[in-house]
Amino acid sequence: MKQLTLALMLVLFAVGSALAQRTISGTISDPSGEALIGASVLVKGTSKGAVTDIDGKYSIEVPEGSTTLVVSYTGYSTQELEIGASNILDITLSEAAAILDEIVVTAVGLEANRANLGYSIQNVDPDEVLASREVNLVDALNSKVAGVQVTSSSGSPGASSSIRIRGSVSVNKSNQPLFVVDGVPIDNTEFGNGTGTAGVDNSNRVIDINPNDIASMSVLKGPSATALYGVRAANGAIIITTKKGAAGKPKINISASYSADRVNKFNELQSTYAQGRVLSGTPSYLGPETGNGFSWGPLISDLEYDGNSEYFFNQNGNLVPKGQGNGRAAEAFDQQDFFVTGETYDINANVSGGNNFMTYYISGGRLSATGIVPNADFNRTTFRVNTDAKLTDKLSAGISVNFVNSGGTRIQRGSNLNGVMLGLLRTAPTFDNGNGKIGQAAADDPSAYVNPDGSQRSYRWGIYDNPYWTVNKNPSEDNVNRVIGNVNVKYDINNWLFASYRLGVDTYSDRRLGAFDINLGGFGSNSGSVENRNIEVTDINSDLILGYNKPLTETLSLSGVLGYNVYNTKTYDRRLTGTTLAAPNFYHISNATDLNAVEDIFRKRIHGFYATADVNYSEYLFLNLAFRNDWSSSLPTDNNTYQSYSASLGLELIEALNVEPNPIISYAKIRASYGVVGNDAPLYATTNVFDQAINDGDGFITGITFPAFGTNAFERSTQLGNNEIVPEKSTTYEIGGEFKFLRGKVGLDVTYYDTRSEDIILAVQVSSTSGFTSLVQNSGVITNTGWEIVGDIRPIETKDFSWDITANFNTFTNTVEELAEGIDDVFLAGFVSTSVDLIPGQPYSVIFGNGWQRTDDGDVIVGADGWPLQDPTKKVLGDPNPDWTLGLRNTFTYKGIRLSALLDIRQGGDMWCGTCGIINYFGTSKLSADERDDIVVFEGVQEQADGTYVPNNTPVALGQADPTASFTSFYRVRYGFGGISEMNIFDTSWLRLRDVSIGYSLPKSVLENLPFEGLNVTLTGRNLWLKTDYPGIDPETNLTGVSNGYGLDYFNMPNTKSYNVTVNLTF
Amino acid sequence: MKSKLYILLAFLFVGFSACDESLDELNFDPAKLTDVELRLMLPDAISQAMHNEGGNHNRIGGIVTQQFEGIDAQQLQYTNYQLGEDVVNNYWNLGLYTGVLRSCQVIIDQAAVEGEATFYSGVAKIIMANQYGIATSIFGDIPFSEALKGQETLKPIYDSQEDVYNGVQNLLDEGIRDLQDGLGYAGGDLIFDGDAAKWIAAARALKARYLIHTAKRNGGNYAAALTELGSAFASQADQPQFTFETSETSNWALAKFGIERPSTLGISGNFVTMMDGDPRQPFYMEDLGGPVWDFYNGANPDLVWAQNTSTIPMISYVEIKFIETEALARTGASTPDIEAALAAGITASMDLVGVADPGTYVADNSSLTGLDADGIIEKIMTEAYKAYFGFAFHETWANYRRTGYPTLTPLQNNAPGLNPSGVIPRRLLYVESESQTNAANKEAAAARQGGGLLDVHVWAFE
Repeated sequence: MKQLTLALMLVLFAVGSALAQRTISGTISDPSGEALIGASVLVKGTSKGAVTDIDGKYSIEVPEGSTTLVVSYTGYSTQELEIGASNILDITLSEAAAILDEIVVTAVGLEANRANLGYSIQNVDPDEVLASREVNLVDALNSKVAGVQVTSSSGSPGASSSIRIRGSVSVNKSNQPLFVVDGVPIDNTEFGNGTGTAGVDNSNRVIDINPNDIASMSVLKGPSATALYGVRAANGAIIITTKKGAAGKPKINISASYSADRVNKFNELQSTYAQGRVLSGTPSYLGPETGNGFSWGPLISDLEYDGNSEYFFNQNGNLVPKGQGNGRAAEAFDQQDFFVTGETYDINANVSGGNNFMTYYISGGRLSATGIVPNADFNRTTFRVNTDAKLTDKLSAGISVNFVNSGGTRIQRGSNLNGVMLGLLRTAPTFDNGNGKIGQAAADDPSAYVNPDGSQRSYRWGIYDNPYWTVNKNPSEDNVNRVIGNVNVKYDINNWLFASYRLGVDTYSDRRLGAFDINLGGFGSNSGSVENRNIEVTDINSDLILGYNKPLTETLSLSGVLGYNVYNTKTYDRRLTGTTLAAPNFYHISNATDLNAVEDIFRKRIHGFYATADVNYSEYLFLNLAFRNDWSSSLPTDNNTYQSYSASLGLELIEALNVEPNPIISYAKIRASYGVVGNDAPLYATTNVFDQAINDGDGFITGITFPAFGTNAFERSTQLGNNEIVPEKSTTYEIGGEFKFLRGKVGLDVTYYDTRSEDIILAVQVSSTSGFTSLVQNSGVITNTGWEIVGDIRPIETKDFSWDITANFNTFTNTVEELAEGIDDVFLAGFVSTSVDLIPGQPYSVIFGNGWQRTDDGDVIVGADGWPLQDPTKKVLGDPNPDWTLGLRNTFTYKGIRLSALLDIRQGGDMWCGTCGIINYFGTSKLSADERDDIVVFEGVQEQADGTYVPNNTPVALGQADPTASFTSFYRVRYGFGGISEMNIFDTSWLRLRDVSIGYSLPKSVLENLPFEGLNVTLTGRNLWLKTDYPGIDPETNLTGVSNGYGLDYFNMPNTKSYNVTVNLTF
Repeated sequence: MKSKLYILLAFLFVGFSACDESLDELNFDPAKLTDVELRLMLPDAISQAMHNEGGNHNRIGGIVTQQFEGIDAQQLQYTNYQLGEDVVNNYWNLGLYTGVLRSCQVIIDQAAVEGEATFYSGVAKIIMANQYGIATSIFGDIPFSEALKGQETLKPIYDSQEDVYNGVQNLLDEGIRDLQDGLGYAGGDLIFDGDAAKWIAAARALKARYLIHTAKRNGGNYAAALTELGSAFASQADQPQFTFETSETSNWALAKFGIERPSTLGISGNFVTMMDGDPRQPFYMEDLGGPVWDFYNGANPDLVWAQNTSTIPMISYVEIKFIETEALARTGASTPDIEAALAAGITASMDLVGVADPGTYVADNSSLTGLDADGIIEKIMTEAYKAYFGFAFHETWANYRRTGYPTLTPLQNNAPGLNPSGVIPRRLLYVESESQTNAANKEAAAARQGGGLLDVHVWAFE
């Protein structure tokens, strides 16, 4: 490694050194006298610099005429010192008041001091991001930023996660924020199921960013912060800056990390009753060979095996009533045995350094993760080179290249006969999916999932896939090769004006294979299919910027930029589907009998100019103005331009009012801002077109796809285009304040915002009887008001010990005020029977489905027979948005030991547990067993002949307690498949220990004798504890990934808890 | 140095900004057509119409008339008459109005603009009429006169069922007139390959079908139906029918259902019993050892109505014969004439499914000896019930609702919220999407039809 570094140094940085007139040296230390390692010393007005060594010593050559040294160190106030006669200059730096020098990266890669901004922006500590040990960068932000809501779609390796900043404002377009890496927006699409309810958990593409490369992250929340990005950051932006080298000798950092994952919460299943159903009043055993799906059979304890060795569904034979077999008691099997321990190895190495002319950062990382489901995996290999060169005194340039290869093996989940959880949770307790083995061993043994006759071994003989079959026979693989990079040049025209240009590219190909093997025999009826999918995405982003920074008077300075941006994106999505496979176990397109090809092409360009002006008066009054004008290809040609603009004002009262330094309050900034962001239309929404014909309209079966019957055919698209749409507009008012009390020991940052999105462009559902199902139009108002409170307290601080508490509190009300005229409902995601929708007057993404009939007083109406009545009209049943969330982190530091724990509290928020309804229906849930013999009186009222209501007092048997009841009259069956929606709405409030970590860094005294500069060992537990009343899996889940709809759980993959150890070595 | 830099910047900037397409060009989807010839639209209208024949609404018809029975999941729910407003949303939206009706309307409109394309407009009108006829028999009042007008009428009113049935007859008449010109055929007719005369004969048969639907309201319709049948097709060979393909992207809906929703739907026990000893039984169903008999088994090529490549009539010669039988019976024809027609109907059914030798079945079951008028209708309906299985569930359901035959016992423990009187469902609820997009018109229609729950008859069958 050292040799490699040396070679790199030689090749890249063999640059002649300038002649020096004088050498200054000295020691830099903190107020306690501790040497500061790596502090930077610069000769003001030149590019000469040096870095302190391990003893805090530096030595620097100062050219003739230079009089000042600038000394800086992270966390300390920067000092400028006159060079005196002496060649020895020892410097003591004082610690900066935490807030005052917090650099944030605002739009278009510009840095600003957070204190100088009149709007809310929050930094995320990259160490915290890294310490959370999340594979997906989005997950690493969970509970760490006020106003940011992260929802992982599942615990599958590489699964997508949704992130929303301050709720949702759009309907048909993504509500995800823009991710910007080193000034270049990157793609964060999830190519997958969209709002579909079946398929696999795919990745959102931010997963390609290696958290180890991140130097800083800023979250831009409102339009005042994002106006410069215009439309693309209409939902906020996450600004990421990657690591750069610093002048000095090569610094090498190696880290290795191992994690073990387990399922953190699972549905409660019964182990009392056997597969079967009630026949003629008697619970009867009906085994796999009957195809029966239910577990409403007899008591398992009343059954025994018959010892038939030919019976391939169980090695001990078929089940028969006690006394008729061989006396070996029937067993119940634990379906959780399917899950295994997922393991993640993450190895990263980087080298950074440079000299006064050039700096470099080179890194490589390899992450390989296996899932809690056998055979699932996700791998990511990343390389990054960041170099910056100061070509002349005025001209600097940089190149950044990031190559990523990622992908994995995904597992079928959701509403899908091939889904792992669907098959697993419906499996009767008397059926052993693993055929005597569990976990990976069963997955590796075909006898678990293939019968000797070639048919599928599953509890319904091929109807629902045995989960072990799914993980072997339904492969879904993806492989992404991606390059993200930029080149930039900057030229200082004079001491207050610069020009810069940055060209960024983000391009990737995503090659996928999805297959379903032949499943014939028994009740299996799938003749197999293979899909080759190829996605190519290329985003190009170009920014030309003229920047200025000019002190106008002693107390007044003005800075800002003028810029021009072009963004161009193209996506080709090609799918070749082959059906009816010839040979089993051969997942190649050549194995298919019938082929169908589809190609989608998406292309769009936005270009715009922008300008900002930042006025700073005496370091206590700040005015930030921003304006951007965009032209977008997705809008009608005649009306394709729109504006985004903002104004923010910040006033620091202590300075402004000249308050004497005091122990109570040391900083008090109040701020107010106003911003408007425009937004363009979905692609291709302005015209009517003809699609290749598909015959659809069933809901249970796939349609007919042309070409077919020896011809091709086309049909008019069901979306009515609109050439008169105008851009969307979202307006936000934001006020807030930031305060430091008790000499900085207590900090508080409060923000209140009020956003109103108008003219929302949506494909409004129209009555299909018009010949169209949707019409693109401007309609709808969505508002969002909320509070974000960030607090930090340092209750104890001594030389060796400190205790910090930080809290991120968030509450918002995201309301759909109106949709289009006469439109009462927009479907976001889900099923026909239960979905999440937008409904005027209701929160975003409410759960909509079948409920009970109720009186005006809200009492459930019960029929004369004692059973509650279903309302024929659907209604709003739940709100998945939490009332509030709180992330609370406690950090204790004692010498080299750091203990940190993040508690995540979520109050309120509903979820539809479709899984619960279905396993109650099939009789595999614990609940369905517990209540099987119950006789209850439903709470509700019965209607009298005169139209009045009296409390219901008619008892009904929920299950088999009534011997005359047919099985279809059972409570969990009579209301249909999975019951009516209202039976399955649950509160998701939770209290969870999102992460806890303890780290130890070797002290300097020990390191002196070792060949490296730093050694840190950290143990992390993620999601170790969860308290919630939600009955299913961990309610932090979403069936439809990063789509705009959330609040649905239907055989989602469970979430995980994990244990991690990381070793970090610097030398 | 400075000038070099400016040149570099200008180069980068101009080089990139000079893109090939202008902004408005970029907003056209290169993967889509903007104009399509009629010959490339008709196949879609035809195959969508035929795909609908095995769709969810028709399987539900089979369930409520107790030919099918749900085994689990939604099909079991339907068997319990848990038929909420969401169950046929897909059919209403994608199968019907923006499915086949949309395609027919586009063809009719474009043919009028192009001129000299009356073959296409004629066929489209016939298909459209039939689809409206089936839909109104299921829902009662439906949008018709204001439907399919796009931006012009985004919230069409619901026309009374009487007006819809009249409209269906008018459309069939117009289709016949267009086909009498029959101009401009250039391909795409997957049923008769451009033979206008055969389409006209099919239209006559459809007119008879819908005359019978409304005959309870107008007794003269039986005689009128017989008149129409006089010009309808006269053999199985000339019936409008459509053969699906092996591929899973173009196979017959019931086979698809068997494949994609295995063992959720089987044959009702009553129907199994009724077909015991009937030579058609092995062509309809098979006992595979499940909780009920199956209608689908990919390995059994005898199950004619559940093959990937099943041939499905739009209206069958079998049905013509049963319409004739009923019309004869209703118009006071002689018993031998009725018996002859009935025997022809049963024989046609045997032929259709491929029974080589029906033995004495036809003779045994076409005798009307000892039956009163009502008994004769029961006999005809019972035989039609057996004969229509697999391809004309909507007609079986319509027959039952019109006549009450064959006698069926409603299932107990059904969902009283949707079906307060617990009868065999007499209609399907209007669909959820209409509640969301056309609520006022939908509610007005439901209100004038006694609330429109499952136990309310549609106008024609009352």
